[in-house]
Amino acid sequence: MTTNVLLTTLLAAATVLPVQVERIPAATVELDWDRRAVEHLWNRAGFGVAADEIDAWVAAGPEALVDHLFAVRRGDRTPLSRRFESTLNEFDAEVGSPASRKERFETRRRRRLIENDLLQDLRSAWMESILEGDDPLRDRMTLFWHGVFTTSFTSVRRPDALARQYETLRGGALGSYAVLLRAMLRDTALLEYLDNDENRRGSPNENLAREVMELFALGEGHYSEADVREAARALTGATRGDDGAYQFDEGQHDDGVKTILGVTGTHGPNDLATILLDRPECASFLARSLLEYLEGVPASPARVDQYAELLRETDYDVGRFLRTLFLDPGFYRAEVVGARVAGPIDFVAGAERRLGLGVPPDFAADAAAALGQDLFRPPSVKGWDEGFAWISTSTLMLRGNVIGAMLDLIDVETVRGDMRGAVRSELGLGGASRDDMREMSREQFRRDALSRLAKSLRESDYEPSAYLGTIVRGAGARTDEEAVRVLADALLAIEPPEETIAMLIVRLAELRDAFGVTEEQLAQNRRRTENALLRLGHLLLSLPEAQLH
Amino acid sequence: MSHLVEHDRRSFLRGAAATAAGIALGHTARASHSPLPGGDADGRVLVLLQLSGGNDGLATIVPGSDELRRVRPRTLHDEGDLLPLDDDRGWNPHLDRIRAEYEEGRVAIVEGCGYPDPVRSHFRSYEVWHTGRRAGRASGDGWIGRLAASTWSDSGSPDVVMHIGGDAPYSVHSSTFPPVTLGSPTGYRWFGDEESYAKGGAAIADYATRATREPRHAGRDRALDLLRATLDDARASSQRVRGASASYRTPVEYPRTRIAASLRDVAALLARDRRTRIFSVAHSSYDTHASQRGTHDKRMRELDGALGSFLADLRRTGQSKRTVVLVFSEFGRRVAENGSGGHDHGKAGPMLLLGEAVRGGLHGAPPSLTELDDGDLAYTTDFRSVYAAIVGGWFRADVDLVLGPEAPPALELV
Repeated sequence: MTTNVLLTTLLAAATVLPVQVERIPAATVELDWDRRAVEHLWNRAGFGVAADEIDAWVAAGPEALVDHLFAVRRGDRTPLSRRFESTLNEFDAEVGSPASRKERFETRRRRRLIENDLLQDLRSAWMESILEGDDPLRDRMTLFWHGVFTTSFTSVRRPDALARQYETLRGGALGSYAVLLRAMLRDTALLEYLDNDENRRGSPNENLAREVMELFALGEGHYSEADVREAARALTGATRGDDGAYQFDEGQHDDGVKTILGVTGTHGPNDLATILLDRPECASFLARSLLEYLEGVPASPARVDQYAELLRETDYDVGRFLRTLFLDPGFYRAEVVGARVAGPIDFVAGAERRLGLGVPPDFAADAAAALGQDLFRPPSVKGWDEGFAWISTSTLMLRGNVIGAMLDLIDVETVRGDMRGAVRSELGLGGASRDDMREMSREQFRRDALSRLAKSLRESDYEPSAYLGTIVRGAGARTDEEAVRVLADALLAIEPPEETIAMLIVRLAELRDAFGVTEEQLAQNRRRTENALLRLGHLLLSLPEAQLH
Repeated sequence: MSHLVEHDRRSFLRGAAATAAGIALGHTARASHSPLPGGDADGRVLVLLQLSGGNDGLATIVPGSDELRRVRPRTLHDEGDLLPLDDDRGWNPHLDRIRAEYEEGRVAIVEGCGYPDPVRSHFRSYEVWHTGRRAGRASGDGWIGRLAASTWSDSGSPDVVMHIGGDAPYSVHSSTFPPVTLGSPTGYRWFGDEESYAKGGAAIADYATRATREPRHAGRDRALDLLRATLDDARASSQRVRGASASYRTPVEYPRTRIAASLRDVAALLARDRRTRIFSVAHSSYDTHASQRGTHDKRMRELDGALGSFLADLRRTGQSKRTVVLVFSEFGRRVAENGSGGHDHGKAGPMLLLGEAVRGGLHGAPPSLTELDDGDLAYTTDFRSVYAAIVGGWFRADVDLVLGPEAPPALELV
């Protein structure tokens, strides 16, 4: 069932956006609101959707889905930052001031272990939220902002400050970028990450000033080196106080006259933010970043202009931006749909969202990390490179192996057994001693990411809580082709091409033969049928088609 | 899980493993005829060995100095324990195999490597070393990534640059010519029926019964083409890597350490064919903030054993003339020891270049032990002049393109 909705109607109904209605020629562009569109919106605004929920959203219409994505959800848990702070304070109070060097060393070691644990908690809490999918748009946009206002635990070992930054980004993820930018210039984790604690009157450190212009607000080429120097002066004194909270140290602040991007005054951090937000390039920069992140393709100048204007007119209202984008037929164009390389979190969380396997959040976070996206440890101040940068020969195969582990087809023994096979083939040729080979195998085992992941899954007593046979039977599939189509629909975030379906049909027949299952038995609840389908599912989710969303 | 399932799974996996091993061994026979990527005929190779965490150069090549004895009461070796190098310096007592290579003229020591006006942030310093540029990652790819993309990108071979063992350093990062990265050869495969997996690559087109390229799927289909090519690359390199590892036999004994296992994998691949031009490996745990002496000595012993075996193995297989090993660390350590008998992060340190083609001996200049840069050794040699020697001198590639116009002239190291 396909419902076509006129964009103009949409916009009028969704929210008050007279500006947009005038700009786009009415009645010429329509939004094809079908299963493909529903899945696309869920993929990009959240982390995917279960196949059996799609029809209901087609029927409900685009505004209903967008409203759903924006619906306010309030968690009543104590903020993690507060809990982390008291944990660390308690530890510090308990150990007091160590008497000897040895004690100090031991105290530092113990504190580091606690810090690591707390960061692990933070990572898992966020991943849990993503996997549960209760607040998908907020999680998606927090991830976006985490990649913009980057801070890494590798250099800022303060889980409490990182948690506070996360909470600030999460709270403001769908609000005004202007508010977020000002908040980030007071964020102790970011200030430390970009060395602003060393930016003092008379000895400026330009790190933050440069990144604010280059990576947060304007983009390269829209400021001069002199602007960076002057902006650094404006930021002097913005630092972390002894209590861990933000402190503006007047004594370290350079209160002289500065000229930043042509504006002269005794600027401080907030004035710098105002100057940046007033630049037309700022809105263009943000519009481009958002469009390219969500659409996954380079944004055309016309599209950037259109959306930059929206940002300028709404004082950088990101929520309004997103609402408009999600109802824009351009967001559903052929170039965009199904063409974005799913990032590691998209990939792992997407599989979980679609299948409901019940993977532990720790595992999901570790798997995403092994695939290149380690929450709270972005590779650099530039955050993560999206798109094909995620894919290497190694990560492509590892993605498939992660799925194999999630489906319980791969465990520690699989990897060990494979190594033993490789070692045996060498011993057969008569070479190094048996001991040598055993040791070598142990070394290789230790170096292998999959082994570590499989081990952690085993230790968490995980068992997948979904059966592929149930999906196939539930859809009434009676032939190989029907089963393949049902599984492809359930497991993939995109519509696969026909050649893929054809290949999988051949493979399913092979697997049925291997497991002694007839085509008629596909509809029966049998262990052997499930075994054949699991292997088909594993292959399916390892294919190039499964890397897109 | 039921007994039945376990049985099914085992037989399934046995089948897959046998297939993989069969392919691997079959491949060895026609190994040495692989086409050679790049322009140069002798297939020159760089093994990039990173000492991760910041190696203490002053405990590696140890200057004889009373001043040093004063500020390093616990971490400095007794002069009598050092292995002789020359009148002014000795080798760490555990580097006897590297020293033997040096005595044969096969090791260049470049002293005091660093860069002007070093950044305070260690995180940033790391980036400077990996990109060879002051702006760090903001400047783009790693220096090896740039070298590979500008020199071998038309080779059509996915594994020209390989990192073996854990996380790849940013040096090999390239947005256009990504390296093959693997934890270990044995885990470098897709664990399932590999023949079926291979059908998910470009060969899947064989299943198309009619032209299925619809305009509405234009974006998806473009992306699929690229991903399918990557899958084919993965399959090809997986077979090569696993095959090389499984079939390699050597009488040379390697120590039982991670770094030795990685270097043994490199030796296996070097003996197999000439496809890979850059191998990156890392030896970790050099971040010796406390009780450095024992820890660092252990690292030195591991490094010495692994490199000694590796170089001997290459001589045996005839690969030593086309291979150089560059040993570097992302920064040195402070001159004076700290309160915990360790050394905090510092600045300059030595780099080593090993191989038969290397001009052995001392290069650069020893940094002063008294005129320090804020408690650190002040650099005497820009590390990029060593990179330039690799890029221009060894690979005959375009130094400007790789290191930028700000790079200093190359040292005569090869």
